[in-house]
Amino acid sequence: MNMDIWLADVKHLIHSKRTSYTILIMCVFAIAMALVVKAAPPGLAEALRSAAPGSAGVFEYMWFENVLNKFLLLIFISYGAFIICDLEDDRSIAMIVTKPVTRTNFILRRTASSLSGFFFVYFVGIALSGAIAAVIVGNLDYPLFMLHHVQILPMFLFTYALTFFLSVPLRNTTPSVLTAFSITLAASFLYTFTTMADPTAVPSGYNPLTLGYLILIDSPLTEPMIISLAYAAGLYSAGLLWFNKKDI
Amino acid sequence: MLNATRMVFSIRGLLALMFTIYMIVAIGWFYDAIATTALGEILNIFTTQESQFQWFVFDSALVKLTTLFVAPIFVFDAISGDRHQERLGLYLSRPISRTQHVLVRTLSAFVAFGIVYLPLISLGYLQFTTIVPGLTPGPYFATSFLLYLLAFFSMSVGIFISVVSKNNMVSFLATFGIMSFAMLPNAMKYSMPAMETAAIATPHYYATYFIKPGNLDALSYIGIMLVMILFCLPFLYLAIWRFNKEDL
Repeated sequence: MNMDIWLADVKHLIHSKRTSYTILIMCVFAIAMALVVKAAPPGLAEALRSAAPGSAGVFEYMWFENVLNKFLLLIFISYGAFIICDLEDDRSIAMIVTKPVTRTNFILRRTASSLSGFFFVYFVGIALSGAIAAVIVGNLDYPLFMLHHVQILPMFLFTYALTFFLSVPLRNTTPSVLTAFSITLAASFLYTFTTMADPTAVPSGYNPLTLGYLILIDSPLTEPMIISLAYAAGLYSAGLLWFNKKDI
Repeated sequence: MLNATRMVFSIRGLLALMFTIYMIVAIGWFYDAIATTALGEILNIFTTQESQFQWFVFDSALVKLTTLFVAPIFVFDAISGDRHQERLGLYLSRPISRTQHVLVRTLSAFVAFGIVYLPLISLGYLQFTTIVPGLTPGPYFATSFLLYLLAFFSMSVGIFISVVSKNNMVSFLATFGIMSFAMLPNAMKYSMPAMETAAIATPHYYATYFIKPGNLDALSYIGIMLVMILFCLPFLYLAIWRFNKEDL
């Protein structure tokens, strides 16, 4: 793998508006939600705390529900679309695959670039958001907050792999992102409605989108994490094989 | 009209259709289960089963569907996508003004969304009357149409961001982020009275104004519609102003 090209891709991603807007929006959400938690009546705060016994604080519960499961999911999907769709939109993909580099090598290099770019945004954004919330709210367990954001990564890797898999046939950014987001949002709503119907039920770990909820209720995580990673690996491998066979 | 029809029969129209059907079916299915459990203090605010159901359908579920996801997908790449694919010059070489171009794009998206949303929400009423036999059509269809106007607000924001942004993904992320943020005060107003003041400054508050029984009269309804349209105008004006200044 050509490290210079990888580094150039990563620098391009880190300096892009996508990165700065993402971190900015995360910080704005953190401020807004921290203020809401601060102003919440004691009864509501207690109810949220008891609904999420494994959380690092009420802020984390609201953060997971409103930001992680929607906005950050979309961010990760956009990074998944970077692998092929950005080049397809620029109409440069046909030229790039004619170079003396295997398609597998090309995809792996693009994957490494986009994952590096995403992890930068993710950890910087989460660290800043957590710090803002800890200052405003005061009772956030910051190390646990960061740990939970590492534990939820398999869910994001699943959505990333799903987007890549869909981008092979769909090619352009818009349909790939919309389709991936629809599927993940539908899966997210499915478990949300199920837990509303029966608050005592533990949602199935076979739905990767339940990982955030399982973290908050302090449920065993090993099996759901392995299942999400297996889905991600399967989708990514399938996408890679398909791309190798596909006539660009 | 041709633009609108093309959008309906594209992948975004298909996604909007599938998603709306999914939400309406899921709402009907899960409300049955939720009706026998307690959802905390929020349900006690609504004295009748009909208003409880209306809250569940419109305030907690459909609002998210229409404003966060379905409406913006019709418009987020209206200008930024054309700019990226270098079609903007071709469109503007026709004998239409830039103002007309922006308005046509917005209104086409609004009509396309209406073609998907309005028939399905009407069919949804037939399904919902089997679950809540006392569901009266007046407040139901009144709120449904206000949500349609709320979608127009989302599209106004979306078209403004599309004019300003040079990238489709940034446009979608920014629209989604702003809509997620804007719906928070209204979503929290029942559990936190302080949020009601903030909610009044968002169109979401007015879109779900007639959920509580006894609120609906013709004059109030027209007033609410005008207020919601007023929320859209600044964003439309800014989009047109910005687009008119742009040197392609």
